[in-house]
Amino acid sequence: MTRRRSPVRVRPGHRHAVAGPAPDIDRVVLQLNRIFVRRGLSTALAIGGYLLENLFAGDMRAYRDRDYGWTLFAELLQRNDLAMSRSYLTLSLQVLEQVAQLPEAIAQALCYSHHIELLAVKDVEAKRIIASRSLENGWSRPQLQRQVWEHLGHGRRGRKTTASPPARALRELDRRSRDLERATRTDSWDGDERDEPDRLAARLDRLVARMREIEARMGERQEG
Amino acid sequence: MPRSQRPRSRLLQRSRPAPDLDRIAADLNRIYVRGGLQTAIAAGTVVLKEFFNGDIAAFRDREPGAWGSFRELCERDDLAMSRSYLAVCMDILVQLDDLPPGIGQQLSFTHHRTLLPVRDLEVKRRLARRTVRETLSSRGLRGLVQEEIGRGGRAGGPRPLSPASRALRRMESACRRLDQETGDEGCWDRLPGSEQEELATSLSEVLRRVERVRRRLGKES
Repeated sequence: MTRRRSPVRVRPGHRHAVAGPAPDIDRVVLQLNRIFVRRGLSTALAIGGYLLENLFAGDMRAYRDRDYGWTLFAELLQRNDLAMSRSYLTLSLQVLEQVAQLPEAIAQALCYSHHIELLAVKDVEAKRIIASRSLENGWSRPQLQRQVWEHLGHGRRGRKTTASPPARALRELDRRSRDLERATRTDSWDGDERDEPDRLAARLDRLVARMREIEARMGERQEG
Repeated sequence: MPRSQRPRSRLLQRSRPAPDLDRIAADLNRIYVRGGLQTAIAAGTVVLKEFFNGDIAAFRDREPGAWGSFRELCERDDLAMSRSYLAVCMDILVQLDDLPPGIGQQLSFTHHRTLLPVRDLEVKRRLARRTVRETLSSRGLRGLVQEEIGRGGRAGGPRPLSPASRALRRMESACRRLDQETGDEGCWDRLPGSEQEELATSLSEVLRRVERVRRRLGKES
């Protein structure tokens, strides 16, 4: 929350000082939730739709079969002046296709991150079932990720065909720890930030303690 | 013929002119940059209309009654967005009002958020113009904002996070996820033994790296 001024005391009987009727908060929450859920999805659909129209002549099969337009798409992915990542461009086309595969009410109610998790499910019928269950039960992204992982079969080496949720969390932890190592090598602490190393060290101590707990729990459960 | 060697002229077979990649890249950037900002504007506008009667001055002046209801909204458990996100949306709406027409709309949500700590309107406008003119990345803008703050250009608002602090915050969030996933709710017990072993080894490696960083910080503090 942006720090502005000290909190304002609300006087009794002064509940809604601005002219106009008091807002119906239930309606506002509904409106805001709809905007928020749509935020990533509408951009991805706009990007995917644009790519489909301009590179693949509006033909999803051409993208899927890596037919005409694919060479140009590959060229586009190599550009350094794109504001988005290469994977985002590919995902936006995949999400566009997925939206067409799902019933409209379900597709539009799922947020972008849920759509991304659902992409791992290739079977359209299973995709529909998992998507509608996700909405019925109000699954969070990690919950949906777990369900998708449970649904997918094992690969040749006896592993699931997609990385497990703990493996993904650990991969993220690993990547961010490399970022931290790089940043603490290059950051110079001066002026207002002279106490930054102390603050970081205190937070790191807490983090290390938590990671040790997880490590111990992993060991116990492995033995169990 | 391998797919990679298929001639590009197949596009022309569909009687469409070959697309101009420069134009496509520019269009995609525009759509992408606008996405986050449009959401922030839409959310901010709903709050402004419902709680402040569409009056941006009432929001700036912190009309007491309206702020009371706004807090009530932020505390709702069923609100999909966080209180801080909603507050940033409102601040961006004010910032858009402060910036020259056309400039604010060309900045992304991240650029706007980076610019929020600058309270001096002249400095804010100068930085926004420069960002658009030189197509600065949000990281580039963050550097300029930090320079301004160093010169005393800041009069309030959140301090931009240092890269180290940002990386640490993401690590904390990843650690929470790992904690959940290896806990009772997670699927740790359903992983094959070999994968459990592999993950435990990776965690030990990350721990060693983090402790190395901690030792280095200890020397600097």
